[in-house]
Amino acid sequence: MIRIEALRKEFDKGVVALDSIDLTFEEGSFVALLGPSGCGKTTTLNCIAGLLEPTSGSIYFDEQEVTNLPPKDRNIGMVFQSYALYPHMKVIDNIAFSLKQKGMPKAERHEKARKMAQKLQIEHLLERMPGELSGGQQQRVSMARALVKEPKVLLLDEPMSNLDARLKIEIRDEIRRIQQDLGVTSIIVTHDQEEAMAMADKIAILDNGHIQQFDTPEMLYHHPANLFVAHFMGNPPMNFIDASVSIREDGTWLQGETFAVRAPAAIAEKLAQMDGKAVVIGVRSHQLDVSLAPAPETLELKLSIVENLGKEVMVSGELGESRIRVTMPDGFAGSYEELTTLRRQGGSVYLGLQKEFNVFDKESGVNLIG
Amino acid sequence: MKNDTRPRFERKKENIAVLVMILLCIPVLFIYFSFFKNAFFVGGTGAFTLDNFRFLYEPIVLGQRTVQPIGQAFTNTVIFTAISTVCEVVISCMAGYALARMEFTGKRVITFSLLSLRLFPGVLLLIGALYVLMYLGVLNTLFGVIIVAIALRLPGSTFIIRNFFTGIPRDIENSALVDGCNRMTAFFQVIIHMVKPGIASISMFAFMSAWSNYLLFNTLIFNTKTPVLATYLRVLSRNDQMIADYGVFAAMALVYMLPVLVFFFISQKQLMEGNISGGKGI
Amino acid sequence: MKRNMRQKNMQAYFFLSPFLIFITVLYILPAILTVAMAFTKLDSAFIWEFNGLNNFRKIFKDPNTIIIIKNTLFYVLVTIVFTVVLDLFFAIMTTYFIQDERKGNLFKAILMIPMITPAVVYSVLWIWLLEATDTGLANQFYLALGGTQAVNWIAQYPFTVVILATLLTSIAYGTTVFSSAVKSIPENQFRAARVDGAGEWEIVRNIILPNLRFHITFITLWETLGLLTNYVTIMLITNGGPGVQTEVWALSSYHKAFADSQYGYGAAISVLLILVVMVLMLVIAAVMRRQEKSQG
Repeated sequence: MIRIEALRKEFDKGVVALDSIDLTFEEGSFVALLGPSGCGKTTTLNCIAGLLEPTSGSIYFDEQEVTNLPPKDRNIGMVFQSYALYPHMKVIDNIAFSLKQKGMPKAERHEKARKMAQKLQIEHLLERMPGELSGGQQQRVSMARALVKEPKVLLLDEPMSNLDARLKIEIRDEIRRIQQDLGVTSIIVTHDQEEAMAMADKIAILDNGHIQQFDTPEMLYHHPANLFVAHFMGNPPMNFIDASVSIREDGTWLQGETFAVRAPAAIAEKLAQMDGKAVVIGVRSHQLDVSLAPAPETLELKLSIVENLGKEVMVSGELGESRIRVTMPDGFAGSYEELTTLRRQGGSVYLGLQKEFNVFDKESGVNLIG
Repeated sequence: MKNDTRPRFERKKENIAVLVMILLCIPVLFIYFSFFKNAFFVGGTGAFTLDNFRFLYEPIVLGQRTVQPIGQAFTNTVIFTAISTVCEVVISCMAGYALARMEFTGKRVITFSLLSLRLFPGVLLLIGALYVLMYLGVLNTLFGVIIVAIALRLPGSTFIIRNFFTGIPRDIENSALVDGCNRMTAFFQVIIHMVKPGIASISMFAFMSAWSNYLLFNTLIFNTKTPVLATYLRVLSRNDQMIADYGVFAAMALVYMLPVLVFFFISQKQLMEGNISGGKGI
Repeated sequence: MKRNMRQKNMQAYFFLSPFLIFITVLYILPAILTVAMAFTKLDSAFIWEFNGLNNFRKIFKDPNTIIIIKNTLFYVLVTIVFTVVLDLFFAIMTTYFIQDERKGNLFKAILMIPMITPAVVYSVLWIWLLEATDTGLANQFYLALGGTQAVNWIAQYPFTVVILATLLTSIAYGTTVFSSAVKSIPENQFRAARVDGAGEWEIVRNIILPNLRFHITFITLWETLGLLTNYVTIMLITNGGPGVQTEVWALSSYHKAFADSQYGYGAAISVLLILVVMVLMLVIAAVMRRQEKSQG
């Protein structure tokens, strides 16, 4: 288990990179630190590794405080974005390097390195120099090097950002497999939300040096804690529609410029005390009903683009100030051709909200439902 | 040139250029060749001889003077070159690493001084250096010349090697730290290997400059008790004494230049690279 | 945090201390001493006796000063112009026209030979070449080409000899710098120019030279600095003579200080040159900063 308490990091000239970071990683779990560049995710990782010294706060591995320990005394394995293989050593010596530092005799450490290489299917590369390897091979070597010392924690700093798309998926499955085999607590830093969702048990989303949400991928996807997370997670991104809460006798309504819809019971309950509040409705592209004819409690979307994505048809258009993308539901009556014709004639479709959607406070960005 | 896919007119231009360059290089090579020929062939008759090389092991008489064998001068030169090269490389590596990679108070001031001193011609300060050596009581000694030689070359080589250190990816250093190194072991096991080309380049320059240095010995040593090859040869060629025997001088020059030439041909590439990174201020 | 910074300082200064000691004792201190000596009449007795601006007054009263200044300017200007032109010529020849790197490097290596020849040997090479007798190599050629009598080249054309000798040692550096700059010009620029119908001369003028602008400025300044301060070649070939015909500023400082033991006077001459050198250094720094900026 790794525990981070009230971590804060200031750089020169008072730039605050991290502030009040509190995180707890369960033993054996795989956690992703996700966020845009400059959000502080790599800084967090470097603090855990001991490569950076926090300004204040503490880090615990199990019950041992490691905040001021140098990296070498923390028993961590780390994979770097550039792989950082030692160019003057053969692959086998690269893998065995950390064992050499511990004073392990040559035969023994080579034996261990060989075993680890076997696990990563790079046995045939052991006698080569790093310069002779492809990007994917270097990645595997760097994994082997990080894991051979049987680390308490495995840290991965954007390990796949230099790989091409296909290799990325292959390697990410591989990392996940090995992580589960060895049961090593792992932390990955990435800016790729898809990668984070595919690999991690839990994801911490950072922005501006603060944790925005620390949760499972499902929760982040369906119940983002605030507008930032909602914007960041999911592809296509969530749709946002401005509205205000209006509580009437016949129910709780969400009132927009061109529409008014009644909130489902569960949501209405959360909004009970908020009459008149400016909110943002957040709804995913496949969470909308679509019809070609106007109906009460629907939102009119003037079509501007119709895309055939193969497995589904997506339309988008403007609704007030915001751009809305909608995936046509499975049972939808109209075909791609019909929609294209409709768009050419300047027509609209009508959107109905389903039972599940999110409502955010427009001012603070906080999710009022979640 | 099996894989030469260039159009024919370009190859023709290349051939013309090669021809021009050969014509321009021939005179230089011819002069050097004719000069060193003197070492092996008797002036008038052109007969082959090794007589000119007797200075290697016994005193020789040239005109009215006796020239001692080269032994002591050779030893002194080797000592001077070895010590000043090794010290220069080690000291500049240490300083270059600190300036490239460490955080400390005064870094900006020291870096700025390094950049200025690198451009500053230290030979203009020899008068002051002479006084310092006198004060330290090491004037007229090999030791005195060695420390001045090192000091004058340090800014240049530190600057070059600092750029090499700056070029090492941070990840590699971090990786070594994570893998169980501290700063020291990381430096010796990983970092130093990554600046090998830089070290080769500054060693080259240090060696060449030390081996052929004449000015410092001429300026800082006032007696003949500490001859080095440069001053040993110079004695035979003072402007006011006609050079007695070009044959002997050519033979000596050949012995003197042999290590330089050997070094030059095995490390020409570093020499050029160092030339560039040393000058351009990248 | 504070304790930590102290630890970092300890570590850094451990690495830096030999460097700092050498530089302070044998660079900075001599610099200060040289400046201080310029205001004394220090001689071989080494008694510090300050005499204000007397040394500088003496310099300006010396009738040779004006000759030495003229010599220095002539020597630097002529050498620098030829050096840069030849550097460009050799760089373009060995890198652009000769694309085969092995051949190009071989020629560059030959051009480097004078640079790596120890000065003591190099000077004798010239003295031997230009020997005044019939058997001197230069005179043999001269006589074969129709000369009537052996010429004492060094006595008759001392300045030309000195400049030629310096020139030959200085082309190697600029040539390597220029030729790596030529190499870094993207091949596509040449292809595009050729497609647009440019001849070789236009390519050199419109593509190579503009790309080398910074390097040319840099080499010009750098070599000027070197020529102003390095006097070994002149010292060994003519030693400033005959008379003061080839005496240059830096060499005269050396002569006054080390040949005549007038250390104070020599230091004063040196200090004036240091002032010029510092101006040049500022210019070089400005040029390099501008280049760094334009490269982002």
